[in-house]
Amino acid sequence: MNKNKNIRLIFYIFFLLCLFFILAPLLAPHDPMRTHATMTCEPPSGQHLFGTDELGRDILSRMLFGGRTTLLIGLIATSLSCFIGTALGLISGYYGGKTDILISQVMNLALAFPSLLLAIGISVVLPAGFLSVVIALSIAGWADFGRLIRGQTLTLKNREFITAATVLGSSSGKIIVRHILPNCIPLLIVSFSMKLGTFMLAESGLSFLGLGIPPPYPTLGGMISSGRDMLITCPWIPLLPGFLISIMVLVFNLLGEMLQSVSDPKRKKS
Amino acid sequence: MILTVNNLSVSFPVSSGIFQKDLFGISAVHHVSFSIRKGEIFGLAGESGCGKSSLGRALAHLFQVAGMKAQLTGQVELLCGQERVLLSLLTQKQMRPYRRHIQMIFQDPFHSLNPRMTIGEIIHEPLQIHFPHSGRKERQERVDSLMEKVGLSPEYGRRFPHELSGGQRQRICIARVLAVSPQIIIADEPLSSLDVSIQAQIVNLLRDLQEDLNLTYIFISHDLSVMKYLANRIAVMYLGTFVEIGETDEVYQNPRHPYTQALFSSIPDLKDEKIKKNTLKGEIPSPQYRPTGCCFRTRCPIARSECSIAVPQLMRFSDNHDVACPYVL
Repeated sequence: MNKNKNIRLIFYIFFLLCLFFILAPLLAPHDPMRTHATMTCEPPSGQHLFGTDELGRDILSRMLFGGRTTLLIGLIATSLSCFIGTALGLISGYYGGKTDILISQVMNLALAFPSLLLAIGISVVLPAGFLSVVIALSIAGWADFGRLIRGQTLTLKNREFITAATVLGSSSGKIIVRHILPNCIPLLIVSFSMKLGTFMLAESGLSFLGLGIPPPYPTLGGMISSGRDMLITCPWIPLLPGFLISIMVLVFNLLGEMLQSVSDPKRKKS
Repeated sequence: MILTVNNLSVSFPVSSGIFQKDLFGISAVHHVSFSIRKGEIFGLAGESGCGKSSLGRALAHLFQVAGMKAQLTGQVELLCGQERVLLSLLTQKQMRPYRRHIQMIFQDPFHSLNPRMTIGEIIHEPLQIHFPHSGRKERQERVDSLMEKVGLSPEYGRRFPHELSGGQRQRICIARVLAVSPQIIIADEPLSSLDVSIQAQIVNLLRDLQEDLNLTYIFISHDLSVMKYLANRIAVMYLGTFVEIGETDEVYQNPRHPYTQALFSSIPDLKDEKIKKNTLKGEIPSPQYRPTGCCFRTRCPIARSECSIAVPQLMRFSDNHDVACPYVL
């Protein structure tokens, strides 16, 4: 009972967040880019609900737009690395042999590198912008999915229902798509939501370091970065975006855990 | 004859050393020949590890066993529709269109059904593979009729395997196999993971289906009582070879080979408690180091020195009864 309540709460927060981000242009009380020379570093008030930053921009509006960007980058980058990693993991695990050795070695190479460092390196090379952040994160993150799915494929391919599918005349491609992939899905859901959290953090980290979306366009990491000097004097400037990141990461992790139990046919009844 | 097996051997390479050279071959099936008529239930009996399952899998063109790739020599010829096909020459890919003629029922119905597919999808899948041109509605009707044929209500079609009992699951496995109307069904210990009360139901189902549809089974089991009830012809295997083969009644009444005699005397019997059990001494030799000559001589009560020289061939004892021991004829 108590658990069900928690699940509902997380769902509400998730929908509320999504709604806020989708409706950001309508909901934002001010233009997130517009500066105000006379109203810098104002504390939260009726006019500016979350206060203003060092250039007089409305923090609530910037958080709505920044959170939107962060979430979008996280979603696209996670989907991309999930797709690449899953495809290569399935191929490598199912076919084995030389294909497996080749793909595994590339995966190990990618995993041996600290992923944030790799992302930093890539975003230095690519011109700054939305797309390059997505590419940098995907290159840094696909191998985690790849290794996970390869392992799962290795255990699944020796299960008897795969043998049964072979005897029934399924082709390798069909076996992978119809029998192995669906049995990887609970695993994928959890790691997808975990990775989404990590990627949102990484995006914020890149923006914090000045390698993400270039200013003045708002991102959560960028807001923390520019507000960190004022942590003592005007704590709302860096703390509120930081708080939003924490909530988003938490909600996605919890959501993933829930979706996993829902997607399992064995638990559908309860 | 719908299936002819000639001199079939199945061996597994054993790699050792840093260079992973294939040093030894474990011979799971050793020069086996037999043939099967349409409508026959052919029983394969023997203790575990004697190569019954390896033989069954080799016939179904499955060589990947427990991560090892088996090597196959000899000929397997199957009647596929009108043409005779030498299955042993085909690659996995070439085999695919012929797969529907030789099907398999597995030991454990908990593991042989995809947990994420509904029962309907599971039975539908082989139809989709082998009859892609039939209409969806037509296939759905066939799925329903197959489920009824194995004694399940078509309502179960929307359920998942874990919602069914072991016996129901084995029925699903049988329905899935029947979907493609195979020439031969290899049943690899289809009863051993089921409760005794369920076993009887499945045995009767297999038997009824055989009579209705004139099916042909290769029935692999170590349960000799079920074998006696179900099989028309039985082959007794020891260390990868056939030691005795013949009509079931004949072999059960008059087992000739010393191994068969020992195997049958191990059947528990409530009536004759006084009969002295003919127990064998020693262990089965490793298939990696097969004894020379007759492979049973290390445990045989009537072994002579000549037994280590020549490999005994199956010899005619009576009309439908062959024995691989020259001293018992």
